[in-house]
Amino acid sequence: MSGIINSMHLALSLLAIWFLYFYCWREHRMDTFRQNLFALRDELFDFAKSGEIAFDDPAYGTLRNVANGMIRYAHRMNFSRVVSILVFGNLPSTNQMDIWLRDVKTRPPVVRDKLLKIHSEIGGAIFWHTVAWSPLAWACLALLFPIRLVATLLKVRVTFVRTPREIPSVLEENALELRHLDEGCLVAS
Amino acid sequence: MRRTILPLATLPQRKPSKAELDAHVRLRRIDGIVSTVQGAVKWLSLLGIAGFVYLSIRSVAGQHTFADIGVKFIGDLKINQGLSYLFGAGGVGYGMRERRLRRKTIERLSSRNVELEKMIDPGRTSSHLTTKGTTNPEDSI
Repeated sequence: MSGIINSMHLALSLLAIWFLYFYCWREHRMDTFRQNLFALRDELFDFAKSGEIAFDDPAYGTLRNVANGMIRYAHRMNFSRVVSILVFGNLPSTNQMDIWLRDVKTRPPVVRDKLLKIHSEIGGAIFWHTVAWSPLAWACLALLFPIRLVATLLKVRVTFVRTPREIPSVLEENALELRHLDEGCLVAS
Repeated sequence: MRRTILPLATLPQRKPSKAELDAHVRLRRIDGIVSTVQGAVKWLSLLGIAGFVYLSIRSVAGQHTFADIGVKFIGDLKINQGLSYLFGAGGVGYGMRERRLRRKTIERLSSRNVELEKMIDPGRTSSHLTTKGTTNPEDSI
C-alpha cells in the first residue's frame, strides 16, 4: 500500500511540474520577451520623437516593423522552430535586413549608433528567448559541447551556425516576411 | 534628404516571386510540423503521467478500493509534505493572480499610450496583440 501512496505523490508532483512548465513557464518566457521588445520599441520611438530621425524614415520603419513582428509572433519564436528553419527551410531571399544594415551604415554617427544599438539589443533579446531560456536548447548544447570538444581534438571543423548572429537574423527576416504576408502586402498571383 | 516609408498596411501591393511563395509555403509547413510536435510532446507527457497512475493503481487492483487509497493518501500526508504542496500550489496561484493583474493593467494603460503615440506619429504601426498584451487569436496556430 505504501508503494501506491508514493506513486501518487510522484504523479501529483509530475502533474504540478507539467502544469508549471506548459502553462506558467512558457507564458512567462513569452511575456518577458515581449516586454523587452516593447521597451526597445519605446526607446526607438523616443529617439524619433527627439527629432534625430523621422518617423517616416525607412530605417526607423524597418526596425520598428522587426520589433512589431517579433512581438506579434513571439509565440512561434522558439528553439525547435529555429532549428527547423535552419535545417529545412530557406527563407525568401528578400534580404530586407541586409538592405537595412547597408542603409543604416550610411547615416550620421548618432543615428547609426543608436539604430545599431537597438538592433543589437533586439538580437540579444531573441537569442535569450530562443536559446538561453529553452530547456530543449540546454539539452542540445549539452550534447553539442562534447561533439565540439571531440572535433577540436581531432582537428575537424564542425559548425552549427555560420555566425553567432544567424539565429536572431533568421527570426528577424522571418518576422518581417510574416508581417508582410499577414498584412496583405503580397498579392497572391 | 528625407525619404518616406508607408506603413505596412498601405505598402504598394506587389506580386510575390515564385521563390518567395515557395519559401512561405515551406515556412508554413515547418510551422505546422513544429506546432504539431510541440502539441504532441505536451499531451503525450500528460498521457504518460496518466498511464503511470493507471499502472500504479492496476498493480493493487482487487486489493484496495479508490476510497482506501484516497483515505490512506490523505491520512499518511506528513506535515512537511502538506506544507510543500501548500507552498507549491500557493506559489502558482499567486503567480497566476499577479499575471491576471498585470494584464488588466496593460489593458487599462495601453490604449492611452497608443492614442498619445498616434498624436505624435499618425502612421504608427502596431504589434497586433490583444488589448491585454496576449497573442491575437488570429495569429495562434
